[in-house]
Amino acid sequence: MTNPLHIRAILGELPDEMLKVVGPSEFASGRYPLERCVLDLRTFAAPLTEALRQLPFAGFLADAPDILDHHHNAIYIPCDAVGTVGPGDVIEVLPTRSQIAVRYRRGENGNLLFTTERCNNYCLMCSQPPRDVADEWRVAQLRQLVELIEPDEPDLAISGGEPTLLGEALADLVQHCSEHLPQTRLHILSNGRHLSAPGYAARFDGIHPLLSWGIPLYGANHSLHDYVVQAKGAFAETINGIYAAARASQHIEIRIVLVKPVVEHLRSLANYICRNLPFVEHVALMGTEPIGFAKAHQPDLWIDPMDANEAMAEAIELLDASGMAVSIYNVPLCVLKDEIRGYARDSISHWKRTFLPACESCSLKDRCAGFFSWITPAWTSRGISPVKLEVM
Amino acid sequence: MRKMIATASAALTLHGTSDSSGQTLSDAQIGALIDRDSRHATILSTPLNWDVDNMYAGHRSHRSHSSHRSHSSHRSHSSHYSGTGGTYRAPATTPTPSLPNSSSGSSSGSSYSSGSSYSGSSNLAPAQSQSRSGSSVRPLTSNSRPSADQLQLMIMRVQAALYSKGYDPGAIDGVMGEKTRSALRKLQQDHGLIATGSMTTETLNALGVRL
Repeated sequence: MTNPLHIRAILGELPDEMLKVVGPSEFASGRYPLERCVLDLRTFAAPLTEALRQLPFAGFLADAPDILDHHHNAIYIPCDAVGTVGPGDVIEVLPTRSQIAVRYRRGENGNLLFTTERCNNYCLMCSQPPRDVADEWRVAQLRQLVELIEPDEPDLAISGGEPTLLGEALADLVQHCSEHLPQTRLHILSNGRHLSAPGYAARFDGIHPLLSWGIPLYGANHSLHDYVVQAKGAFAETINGIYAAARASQHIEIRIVLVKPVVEHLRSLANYICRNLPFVEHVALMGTEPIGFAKAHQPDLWIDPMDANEAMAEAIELLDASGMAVSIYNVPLCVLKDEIRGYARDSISHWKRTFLPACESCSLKDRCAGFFSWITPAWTSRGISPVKLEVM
Repeated sequence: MRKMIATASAALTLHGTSDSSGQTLSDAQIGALIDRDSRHATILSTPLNWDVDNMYAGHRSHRSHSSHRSHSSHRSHSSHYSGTGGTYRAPATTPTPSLPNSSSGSSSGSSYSSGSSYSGSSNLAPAQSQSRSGSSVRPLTSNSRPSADQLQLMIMRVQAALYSKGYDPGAIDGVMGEKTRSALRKLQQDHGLIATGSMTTETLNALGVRL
C-alpha cells in the first residue's frame, strides 16, 4: 500500500519553514528548537496542560477538530485523510492547498533531498520529467531539512532533476550534511556531466565521509548514450565527469536502466565499464519506472525482463570478474533466472511500491522489490508468478 | 583509531630499529593501513550528556540540603558509585580515584545556599569530574543556575520522557511534584541508579534528555 507524501489537513497559521513533528520522546530529547517543532498530540497519553500549551512550539497537530479552537497554529488532520505522518517526520505546510507535505519520513527507505526540477538531459524514460524553472529557493529549504533529519538516518539520496546544476550550492549542501548528518550515507544521483567542468569534482573531495555518486551510463559509445538521454555531447561530458570524480577520490556507482536499446547492447557496455572505468565500485541494473516520459515511449523502451535475463547474466559475469559489485533494482524476483536472483535488491521506496494479486502466495515477497505502484499491464512481465520454496 | 595505528606503527618502527630485525613500515604503507582500517572503524559511543554541566541536578526540596553538606555523606555517595559501578559506565577519561580530593572545591563553596553545584558533583557526572581534573571543559561556576522558565521546560521534558518510557509523572506541567519525583525514583531504581528523585545527569541520560 502506498503512503502518499501529501496529506489533507486544515491549517492554522504556521511558519513557512521545514518543521519537525515531535512526540514525547523527541520533545524530551531537546535536540530540536521548539520554534521548529510541531507537537503531535495524538502521541500524548498525558492530558495537554496549560504549561505545555504555552511553550513556543511552531504548531500543534491533532486528529480532533477542536484543536483549531485552542491554537492559532494548529494542524488538524481529519481521520479520513489518506497518508500518515508521525513523530520524527519533517513536514512543510502548504496552506494554499490545505495540505501538509512530508519531506522526510523517519524509518523510510526512500528519503531524499530534492535539489531542483531542472536537468540538462532529457532521457527517454525519465520518471520525473524536468522543468526549466527557477527553483534555487529549494537550497535554503534543504538546509533546514538537513538540520531536522534524524542523525542516525542511514541513507539519503540527493536527487532531482540534475543536482549538479546547483553548482557550488550542491557542495555547500553536502558540507552542511557533514555537520549535521556525518553518519548518513549520501548518494548523489547525477548524470555526471557537470563534474567535467574544471575544478568542480574536486570540490567534493573529502567533504563528507560517506558520499557516493550514482551516474547513469546507457551505452559504450556516444550514439547510443546520447540517444537515450536525448542530449548531444552528453556521453563525452559524462565520461569526463566520471574520470574527474575518480580523480577527486569519489565513490562511483554506474546506473544502467534496462530499456530495450540498452539491453540490446548491454554486453558491450559492461565490457566498456570493465576496461575503461575499473575504479567503479558498484553497477546497478535497473528496471524502468513506468511513469513520466517512459509512458509516452513505452513501445520503444519496453523489454520484458524475462527477455533481458541472458544479457543481464552475461553483464553480471563480466562485471563480477572485474571485482565490481552488481545489483539488480526494480525487477521482481520471480522473473529473474536463478543464477542472478541473488543480485536483486528490495529497491523500490516503500511509499511507491505495490504488489500484484499473484504475489500473495509467493514465498519471496518479503525480499522482493515488488512493483512501482503506477504499474500497468503494458509494463508487466509475462513471467510474474508466485515462487514456492520447497521446505527442506 | 587513526592516531592509535600511527602510534602503534611508530612504536613498531622504534622497536624494529633497536633490535635491528629489519622491517619498518613506510609512511605510505602506514597511510594505506590507516585508510583500510578506517573503513572498519567503530565509533565509541559516549553517554548523551558527558561534557556539559547539569545545572538541574540539584533541583530538590530544601529539606535535603543539610545532609548533603556533610563530607561523610559525600563519601558514602562515592562508595555508592563504586558499588553500583556495574550499571553506570563512565567514559575512560574520567579520573575516578581523584574524587575525594575534588570535594574540597565544593566545601569551600558551601556558602552557596541551594547546594546545586555540590550535589551535582556528588552525583559524579563525568563532566564535572572532568572539569575538576583540569581538562578543557568549561569551569563549573556557582552562578550556573537555571532560570524559572528553563527549569520548568526541563521538568516538562523529563515528564514527557517518563511518559514515553511507561512511567507516570502525573502530568506534563513543569512542576516537580510528588508524582514526578516518585516516577523518577522508580526509573532510577529500574536503571540501578541512586533513587534520589532528582534530575541527575545519569538519570537524564537514561531518559534520553539532552542538557
